[in-house]
Amino acid sequence: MKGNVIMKEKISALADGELSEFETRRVLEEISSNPEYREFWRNIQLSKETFNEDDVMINTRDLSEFLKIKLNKTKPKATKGESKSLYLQKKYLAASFVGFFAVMTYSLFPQPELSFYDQASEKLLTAIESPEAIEVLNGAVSGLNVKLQNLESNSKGTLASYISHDSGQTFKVSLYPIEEINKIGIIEASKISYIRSEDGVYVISISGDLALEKKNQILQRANFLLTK
Amino acid sequence: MAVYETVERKKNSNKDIDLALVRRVKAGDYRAFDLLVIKYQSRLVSTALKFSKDLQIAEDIVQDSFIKAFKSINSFREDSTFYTWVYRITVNTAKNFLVSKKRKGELLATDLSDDGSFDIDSLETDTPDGILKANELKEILFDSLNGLGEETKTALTLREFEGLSYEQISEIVNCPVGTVRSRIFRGREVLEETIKKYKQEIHPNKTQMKS
Repeated sequence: MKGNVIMKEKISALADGELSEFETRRVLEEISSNPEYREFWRNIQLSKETFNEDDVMINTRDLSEFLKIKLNKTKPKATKGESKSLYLQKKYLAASFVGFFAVMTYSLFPQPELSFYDQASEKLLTAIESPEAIEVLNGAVSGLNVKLQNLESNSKGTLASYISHDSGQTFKVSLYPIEEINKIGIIEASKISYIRSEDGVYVISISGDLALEKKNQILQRANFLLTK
Repeated sequence: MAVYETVERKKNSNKDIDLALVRRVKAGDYRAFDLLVIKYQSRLVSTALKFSKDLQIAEDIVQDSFIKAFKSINSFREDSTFYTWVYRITVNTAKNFLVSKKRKGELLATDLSDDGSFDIDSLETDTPDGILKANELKEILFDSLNGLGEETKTALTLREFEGLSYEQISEIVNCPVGTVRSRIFRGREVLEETIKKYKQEIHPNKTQMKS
């Protein structure tokens, strides 16, 4: 019962755009499968409409259930420039070696005037997003008592910024296909790991003000999540 | 001026809320689209009804419109609101419906001009069974709102009518953001009960959303 109230309070906050990224993910999972929560969400919208609109229709058929069944497995059409899939094929495996040397080169000869964050953000902002990458990043930091501050995601990868509740330290975690390694400057990323999955090879990197031990922990968790 | 600012603030707040959901849809999360469907379906059925004059057809039009919207979500450029975008899709789908009806000779000549254009505001707005004008429910909800405790009512009013964020409300009422969130929720719980009772009264067998 208490959990029910807590979840409904979160749904109420979501309706006002006042929920964090992490909480939103949990709430979406719950609403999706719970009729009571769906109805609560609908009634919040109905009350908002009633207060603010002239005409309100109630008791129309709920279209969402039909649409959920019809569209859940469908993917939106890609627009021009977005047709390139996030998933890498095995042919990209060879590129991992090239990428590895590139990373080593960047690590040995850092260019301090360009931050990893700036370069990665610029590159990442221009393409489509990848839900799997977000899942991996969120999973990688679970249990670390951190909060997501910012998330940039597209077909070239995902970059998430976190803050630690305990220490206030900030750090960034990114995940992207190996083919992007030469395009995104990994300058401050002090910990990098390659992850080979059925979909290809990914690079996960962690930069920022975080203990080495924590960075290793994140890398291990991400590796497990993507390969399990 | 203050009214204008409030309207703009509410519009922007809603735009941001939808945008966050739209971005999740673009990232492949259908659950976010599901929430947008629940949020806007009634309003869009109301629009489609102006064209079709038949509730079931209006619902079908909106259903098709949402399918089109989902499939082309990546072409939504975020310079307009999600609602405006899906509204346009619904109007176009409804227009096509009227054009096809005209071709089949099922439409009165006055319903649609030869070039297929029409003025949406001039369309009749019948109120079929089960669909009510807002006035009755609005009155009941306002009564319910006024019956809330002062703190709850203030928080909910500042959110719903002024479009203020939780942080802004917390500064005004001088309490933590978490308390504001909780008060708004408590207010909404009461309003939800009112809505449920109201639906039960007007449609005893059609109140719950199917699982």
